[in-house]
Amino acid sequence: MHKMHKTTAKHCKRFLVMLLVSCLFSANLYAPMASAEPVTTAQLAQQDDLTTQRDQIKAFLAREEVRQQLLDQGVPATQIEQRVNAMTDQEVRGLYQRIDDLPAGGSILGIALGLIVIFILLDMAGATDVFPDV
Amino acid sequence: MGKTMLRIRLLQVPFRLLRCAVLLACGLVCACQSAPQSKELASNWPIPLATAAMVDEVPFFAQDRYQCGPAALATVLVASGLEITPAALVDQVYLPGRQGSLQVEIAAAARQHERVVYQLAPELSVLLTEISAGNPVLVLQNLGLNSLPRWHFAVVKGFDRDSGELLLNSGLIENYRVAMTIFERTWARAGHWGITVTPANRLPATATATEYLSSLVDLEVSNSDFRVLEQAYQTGLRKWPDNIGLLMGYGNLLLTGEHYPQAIHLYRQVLELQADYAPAHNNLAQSLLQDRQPLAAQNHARLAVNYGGRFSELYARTLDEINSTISREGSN
Repeated sequence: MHKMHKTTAKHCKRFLVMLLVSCLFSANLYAPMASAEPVTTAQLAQQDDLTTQRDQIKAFLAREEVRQQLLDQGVPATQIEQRVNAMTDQEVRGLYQRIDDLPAGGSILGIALGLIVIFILLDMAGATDVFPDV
Repeated sequence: MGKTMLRIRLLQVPFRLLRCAVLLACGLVCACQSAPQSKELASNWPIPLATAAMVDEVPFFAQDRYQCGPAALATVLVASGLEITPAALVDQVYLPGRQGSLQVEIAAAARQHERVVYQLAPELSVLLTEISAGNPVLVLQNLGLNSLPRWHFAVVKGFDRDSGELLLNSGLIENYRVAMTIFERTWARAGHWGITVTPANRLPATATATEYLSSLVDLEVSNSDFRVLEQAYQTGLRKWPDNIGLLMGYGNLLLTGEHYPQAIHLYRQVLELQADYAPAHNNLAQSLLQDRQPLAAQNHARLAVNYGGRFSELYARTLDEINSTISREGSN
C-alpha cells in the first residue's frame, strides 16, 4: 500500500515536472525573437547533440531521474545538487537507469567463504588479484 | 518437515560444488588467456620509453572500508599539487547504496577541484608513458571475474621492465608490486579505464588536441573558474597553436567572460587558418557587436550565413539581431 502511494506520487511528480518543462521550452519557442547565441565549444566538440527541444527535455528529465537515483542510493539530499551539477549531459545519460549495473569501485571485503578458496586458487594462477597480500 | 528441508539442502550441495567448479574453470581459462599488451611489451619495449620509472611524491592513503574511490582520487589530487584528504572526498564520490564509487563521479569530483581529467587510450604503453612523464594514473580494475566482479580503484605510479612489474598504491598497500600480466587482465576486465588528473598548466604526455578539448569542455561544466579554464586553454595552445577547436574554445571562453577584444583576436586567428569556417564568422560577429562595431559584425554574420552548415539557424539569428540593432541605431 505504502509502495503504491510512493509510485503514484512519483508519477504525479514526473507529470508535473514534464508539464513545467514543456511550458518552459514552449514559452521560449514563442518568444518574439530568440536571442542570438554563439556556437558553443561543446557543440563544436560534438558533445552537445541536443539539437531539438525534445532532446533538451529528455536531457532535463534524465538529470531529474539521476537526482532521484542518487537519493535512492543513499546519497544525502544536501549533496545531490552539487554532485549532479558536476556531471556533463553525456555523463548523466551514461548513468541514467544504469546506476545499479555500472562498476562501483569499492571494497574487496565481504566474500563468501567458498568463493575465497576459489579466488585464492585463481590469484595463484594469475587470473585474478583479489588478495594482493597472499 | 525438517527432514524434507535437510534433503533439499543436501541436494543443493552438488549444485553448489558444480557452480564453484564452473567458476574455477572459467577463471583458469582466463588465466591461460594471454595478456597481449604485456607480452608485446616484454618482447618489444618501445624505444623512447625508459626501462623503469616511478613518480615521486605520490602520497598513500589506506582506504577505509569501502572507500577505495576517495582514497585513489585523493592520491592523484595531492600528487597534482592539491591539499586534500580522502575523508573530504567521500561526500562527493561515495555511493552508499553501491558501497563504492562510480567512474563518472570520480571524474566529476576531480574537475570540481580544478583539475583536467583526461581519459587515456586503453594501452599499457600509454600508462607507462604518463608515468615516465610524472603523471600517476588512476585506474579501475576488476580484481575478480567477469561473472563475479570485484571493482577497485587504484593508482599506478611506477614500472620496471626487467622485473615485468608495475608499482601501485592500492587499497591498504603502499608500493604494491604486481606483474604486468596480472594487472593487464584485471584492467582489461574493467574496460582498460585509466585517467590522468592534472593541473591546468600541465598537459598529459599522451594527450591529443581533440581529446584534450573534450576534457576542457567537461571541465567547464563542473568548474566555472575563468582563470583555471583560461590557463588550461593556454596550456593546450602552447602545444597545438594552430588547433582550430582549441582556438575556438578559448575564444568562446573570452566571449562569455566579456573580454571582447581578445575574443575577436582569437576568432580572427581561426579565420586566418580557415577563411570559410562559419562558426568563427558567427562568433566573431557577436563579439564585434558587443564591442560596438555593428557594421563589421554584419559583414561576418553575412559570411556565416553564406557558408552555412550544421548551425545555420544560429547564423541567421545572429544576422537578424545585428540587422535590427543597426536599424534601431540608425533611426535614433
